[in-house]
Amino acid sequence: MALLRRCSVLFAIALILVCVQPINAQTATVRGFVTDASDGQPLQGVNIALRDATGNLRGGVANDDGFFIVVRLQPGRWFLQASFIGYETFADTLDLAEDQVEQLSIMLRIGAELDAVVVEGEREGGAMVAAGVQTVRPADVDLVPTPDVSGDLVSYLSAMPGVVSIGDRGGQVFIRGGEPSHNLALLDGMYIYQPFHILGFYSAFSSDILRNADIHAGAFSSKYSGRMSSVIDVHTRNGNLQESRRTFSFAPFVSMGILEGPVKRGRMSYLFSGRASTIERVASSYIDQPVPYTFGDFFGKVHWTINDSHQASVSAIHTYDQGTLDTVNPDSDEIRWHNTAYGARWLVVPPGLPMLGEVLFSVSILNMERGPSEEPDRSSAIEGFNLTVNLTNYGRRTNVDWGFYLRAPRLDASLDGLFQNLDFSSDRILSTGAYFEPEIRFTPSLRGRFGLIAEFLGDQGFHFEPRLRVLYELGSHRFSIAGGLYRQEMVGLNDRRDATNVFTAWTGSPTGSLPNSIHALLGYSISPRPGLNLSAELFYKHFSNLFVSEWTAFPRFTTRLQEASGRAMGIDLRMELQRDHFYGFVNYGLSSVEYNAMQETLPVWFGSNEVRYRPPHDRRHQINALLSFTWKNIDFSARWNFGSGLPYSRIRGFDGFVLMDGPVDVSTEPGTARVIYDRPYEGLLPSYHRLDLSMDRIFQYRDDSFVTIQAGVINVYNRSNIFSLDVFTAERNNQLPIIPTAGIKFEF
Amino acid sequence: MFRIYFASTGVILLSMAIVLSSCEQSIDPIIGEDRPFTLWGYLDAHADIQRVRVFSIEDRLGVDRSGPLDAVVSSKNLTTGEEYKWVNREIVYRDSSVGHVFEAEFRARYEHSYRLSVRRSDGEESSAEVTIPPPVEVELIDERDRVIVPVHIHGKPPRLVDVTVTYDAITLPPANPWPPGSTTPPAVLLPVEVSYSGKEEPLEDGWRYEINLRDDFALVQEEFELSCLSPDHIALRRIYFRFLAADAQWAPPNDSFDPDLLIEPGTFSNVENGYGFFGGGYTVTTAWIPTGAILGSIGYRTAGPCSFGPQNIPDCQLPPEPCLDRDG
Repeated sequence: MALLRRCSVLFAIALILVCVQPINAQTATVRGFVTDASDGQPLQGVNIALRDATGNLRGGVANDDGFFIVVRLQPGRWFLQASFIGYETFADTLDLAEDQVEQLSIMLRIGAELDAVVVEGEREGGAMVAAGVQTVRPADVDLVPTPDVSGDLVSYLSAMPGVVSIGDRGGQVFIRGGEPSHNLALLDGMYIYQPFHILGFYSAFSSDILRNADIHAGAFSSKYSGRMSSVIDVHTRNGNLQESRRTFSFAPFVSMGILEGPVKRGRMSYLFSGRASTIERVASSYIDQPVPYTFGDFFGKVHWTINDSHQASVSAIHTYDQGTLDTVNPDSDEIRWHNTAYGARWLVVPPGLPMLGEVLFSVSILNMERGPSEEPDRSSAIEGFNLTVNLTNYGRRTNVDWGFYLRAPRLDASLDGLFQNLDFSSDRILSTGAYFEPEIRFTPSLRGRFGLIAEFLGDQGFHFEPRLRVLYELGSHRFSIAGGLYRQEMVGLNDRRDATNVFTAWTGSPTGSLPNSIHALLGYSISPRPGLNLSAELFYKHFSNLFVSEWTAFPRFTTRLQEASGRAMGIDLRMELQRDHFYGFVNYGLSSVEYNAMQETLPVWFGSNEVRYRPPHDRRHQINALLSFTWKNIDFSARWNFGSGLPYSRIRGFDGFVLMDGPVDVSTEPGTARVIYDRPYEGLLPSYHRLDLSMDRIFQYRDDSFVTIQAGVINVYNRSNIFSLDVFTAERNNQLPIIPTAGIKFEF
Repeated sequence: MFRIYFASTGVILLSMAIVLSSCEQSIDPIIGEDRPFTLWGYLDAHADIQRVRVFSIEDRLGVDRSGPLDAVVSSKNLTTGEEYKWVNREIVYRDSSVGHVFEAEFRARYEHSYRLSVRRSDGEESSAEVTIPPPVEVELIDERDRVIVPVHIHGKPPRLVDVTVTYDAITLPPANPWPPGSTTPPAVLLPVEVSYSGKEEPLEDGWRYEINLRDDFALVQEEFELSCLSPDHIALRRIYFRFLAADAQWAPPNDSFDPDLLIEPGTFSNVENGYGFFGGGYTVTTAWIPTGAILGSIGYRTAGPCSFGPQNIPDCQLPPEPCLDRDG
């Protein structure tokens, strides 16, 4: 086994050495960056076409940094075209000599005859969904109605099939069966451990700072490690390189401000944004329910295009959240958390090599507390750095992604007896590894990625995680399969018996066994006609070494941890339609999540060594419908969301317990109260559904100044959706009722 | 085409909204339990009053509140046919909770079987059957002169539960404290229990234990240290060997009285149509005092202000004080 592992490592190193070779002699290369001429933003998806005098056609597509590369071109004259819908096509003639590396910096101008709406209308939609990955852009996010003028990534996430949130508060997002602590959230390469705000409409990812986000619902590639369910990889936009801009918005839930502009015109820019909740001061005055939530975030980024081959950026973010989730008992324990992260990114195109490199260094901090602020009952903290180097070697038929990383988070938790077999913990988890993932284009319609991560985890030794992704295109049909092994070195412990308890304690594995999962995906999509996309995706995840709360009849707030395994499987169906002034989608998610808990007491309680149950985030059916259209320059959006009921544990009755461990005098021994539970999670809460509407219009009052006015209604038909249920008293804690909202945004 | 799609989608959304805008769905998390009662207690062959704690199984919290209990408790000696009605006593415990303890004045007889029934006014009944174990005789072998004391239990009770050796240990301050004039620490009595459950060996007519006074002395010293008392000046007043001779049903799963396990309903229960446990047995206690030579060889001190017999020195009777904060 050890020999096999060594051979795997040597094989990987050899492949890397083979791939990292100079650009082949006798051929030329064209590469560079494509940006929007108006503000310097990189343009993803620009088609680069090169044609020679004989009609040979070569080309490529710009990535999310706007980088493109076409290798192994025969020396001679080539006609280059860079085209992107909504922009004027850029054309140039290149005379390439042997061994020449032509470095270009292309700036596309917005086409005079097309407006921004058309650009959005023509953007790729369903085509961006492939094997568990969906690329989301700000325009997508802004389509989902929220109680704000600007959108937020979490609103879009919650409209995706397979994404479950327990309610409209708490900041807990479950993706295809995985728990929130199994999700990896990255913002410009920085780890954000608790990215979702306490109120479910908001996260650290406002659409105003977003460039794009890749949502990997499962079976993600080797570039990502350390989490075992999903990845939310968010990239922020750069500040405006041409002119200073200011944006301010005011709404009953949050208000926001953005400053951006050039530090050095055309080369260096800054972007600063800040959001602060106003719900506790403004919206609370007309909401018929306590809304004790305070949250906000600050983000800053400086981006520098050093020269044609080097770019660098420095980013920082701070988020804060505070509130009580139980609105029936608003004096109950308060929870607070804040994230702080700062990092730097260096993008380099090495001279003479068909390669793109990225170096990321960041420090991320999370502090979470529960209880009185002066003396919290429970606390959990993470502080650690992340150094990652990502490289891509480009070949004619094969691109190779490879890289290495070093992470060392320190985890501290003080749990005040929440888990009786774990009170205080303090761990420093060192993980370092390398990955290697070639993408091979076997034919023009068939390509595959075959990845391997070799990771060293301190006392845990070496681990290997193979990954696979294959995509086959046949006309308008796309088939994809993906899978892999995923491992997580950190564990987020949460007592899910209580929906209002979102406190998560981060530790190393309590038993030393690392949580891990196996993913498999099978996808199909088709575009039967322009603007119409249909997709279906089957998924399966198997989880091992989970830690869940123990079942006990003690009516207490503390518990013990027990080990569990689990599986999630299902199918996501999506239909998307887009026209010039219309966009809509309907998706349906069918999923089943099952945990299999092993507990010392189970054999005598349930008569078997294990109990299989549906965890409280197992939403079996989910429907999301979004409709957006423009009428008389007003943008209308409607979103309807349905989710079948979530499981919960019912109670058969209450009695008392006396420990008869000897000659107990029952006239002096008081015993303890006891709850007679039914089998775990066999009850179902009522189903959830909600309709949100919004409309907004942009007014232009100077050449470059705009006012956006927005109005909307959340929970239009005032559905009493349940958030949590106190099973002891049958008191229910409902989600937000009908709420009218309005907002205004100034951009100048 | 677009207009049709748009219109139909809008109509569908609106229809769904109207249809689904139903009133709040009620939800009852308590599904109810058919079994009427939970019983805890045992029939004691050495007691003149028998007791059982009765909980009615309810669909709301607070089963330990004050008030009448809809229950009639009776017992029947299945061997002789003798029947008793039990009387309800409402007891307020030290934690202010209230319990319904039913009592009956009789002494359970060895090897007789009894049936305890608790009936509700609607006829629902929980019951338990129990057989009192046979009498036993405890034989200590050279107990005063041995460091390892063999104990033979003659007679064959089905189970021995809560087998403990209790050391009535006391701190024995030095007669002349050093430096001269310093305060003499108070003498404190600290009974230390050592469990011998599960350490029995079977004999033809019973069970055998070996009480190891030297090994147990280490535990006594440890307990004194945990109570912030000096482990160097411990005297011993008396040793008690105690156990509950129990019926066959007094057998927890995994042979362990783990409260986290036993609290799960039904895991340790002999109650029909109910929960809880109602056993049968009696407590046996034997005591002795080893010779001074034996005590000295083990490590116990044998002189000091506190005598081994009853006395009126308050310091010799005080329980240990918590000392967690003494040194910060």
